[in-house]
Amino acid sequence: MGPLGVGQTADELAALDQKACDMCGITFFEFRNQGRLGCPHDYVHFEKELEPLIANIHGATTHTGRRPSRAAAAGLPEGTDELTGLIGLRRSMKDAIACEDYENAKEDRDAIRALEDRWLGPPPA
Amino acid sequence: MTMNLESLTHGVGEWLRGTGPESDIVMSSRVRLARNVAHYPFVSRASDQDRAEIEKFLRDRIATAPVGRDLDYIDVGRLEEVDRQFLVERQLISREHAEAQGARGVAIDGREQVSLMINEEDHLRIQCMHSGLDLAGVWEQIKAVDDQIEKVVPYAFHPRFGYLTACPTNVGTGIRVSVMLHLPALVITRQIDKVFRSLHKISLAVRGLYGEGSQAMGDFYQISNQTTLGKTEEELLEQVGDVVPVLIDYERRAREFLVRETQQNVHDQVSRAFGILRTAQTISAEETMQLLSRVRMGVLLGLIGDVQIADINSLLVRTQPAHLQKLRGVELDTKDRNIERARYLRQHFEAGGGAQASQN
Ligand SMILES: [Zn+2]
Repeated sequence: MGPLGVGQTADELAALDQKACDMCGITFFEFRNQGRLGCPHDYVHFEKELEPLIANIHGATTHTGRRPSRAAAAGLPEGTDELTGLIGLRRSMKDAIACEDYENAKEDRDAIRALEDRWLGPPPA
Repeated sequence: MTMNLESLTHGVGEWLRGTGPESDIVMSSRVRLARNVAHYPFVSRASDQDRAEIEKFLRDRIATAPVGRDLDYIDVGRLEEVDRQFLVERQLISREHAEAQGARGVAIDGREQVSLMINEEDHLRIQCMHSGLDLAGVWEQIKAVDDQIEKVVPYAFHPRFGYLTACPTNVGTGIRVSVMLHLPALVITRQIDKVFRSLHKISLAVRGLYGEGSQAMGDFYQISNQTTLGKTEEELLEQVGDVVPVLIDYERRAREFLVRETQQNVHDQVSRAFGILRTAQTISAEETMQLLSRVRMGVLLGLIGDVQIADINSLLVRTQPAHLQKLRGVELDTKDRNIERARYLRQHFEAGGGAQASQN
């Protein structure tokens, strides 16, 4: 079904199945087995693979309904993939701490704070 | 703030109020929106810590929105099984939400029209339900709730794919529009399968009373849209809304046919159903629902007097396993529940029906 089109060799399919999201780490194989995606970035990372699947389910691939208005009001992009980057940064910081690589951990922490300030604003009172 | 489930036990909830347009056939109108927070993994891939953080983030943020002030929060992860089942019977949470693991909750408004499920399949499922046929009213209400939450929560959004969901079947608008109908005459006249086949052809889904996978019980059916991407929310509301008057018309004609052509048969059937409900010594939830469905039709056809529709509706939910146990204040196994259910029904009808039950 879906992206597994004609003309793909077994090797190509195997490679596609092993392709993993850089944020949540889910592989396309895991998604195919569970039917659930791992994080919002999967729609970017697996865009080519998901597109035929989405077309098959909905008979369309372009959203025409409501859109969030908050981003525009705050001068942020409408798509939220930049904010989803927090998932990868948190993982990277955790790994850095585990290896006692405090320099990289600090860099990650600063990048996390910058993203949070930009996207999440001050925590609600 | 947490809520006392006992206070809910004595009402019947929005979907069984039995009021609103076309409420002789349309039980309830419901819209559900699937939303996710952009900076966390989807629920099925979230760690325990992620789930706890998502729950806290959504609770804290929603509390700052105007709608947050009208909501009571229930920590579903800490509830006893019977209480989770109670919320399912009430249609305030899904069966999946009741049976899931980890940090999760539901926020409910006092009228039981709005419920926000946190950490179901998606981080947030906003649900709004009205009694009778009122999709326009439901849409206005849920749109306002969604707008308020969107001001304080960064929803995962893709410029081309729309609102991003854990399962690609919900991506785009994330909307599921459902209308629950009571169609006993179409079942009795064996037209129901034909009707459903024609609904499938226009890509509408048909389910039984308690959602996905459940058998239709007591002639109650839920009609909903199957696709969520490529059409606007209004177009999808119309897709479901347009077919409802047609179904109402079919059901009304089938009821008229039954009265006109088989008056004695149908009168006999509903009277026997009423008789069993008033005298049985042990009765299952399924049989109760089936018989209540027939009595409900009998009341609407004027074949049974002295019973109110709101009263039948309240029995539909109060004879469900968890409601029955909450009302009796004890946990019961299936066998004891069947005995207790029969006793509850006898007492209810002996007491003159409506008097004790319709205090919604
Ligand atoms: Zn991912």
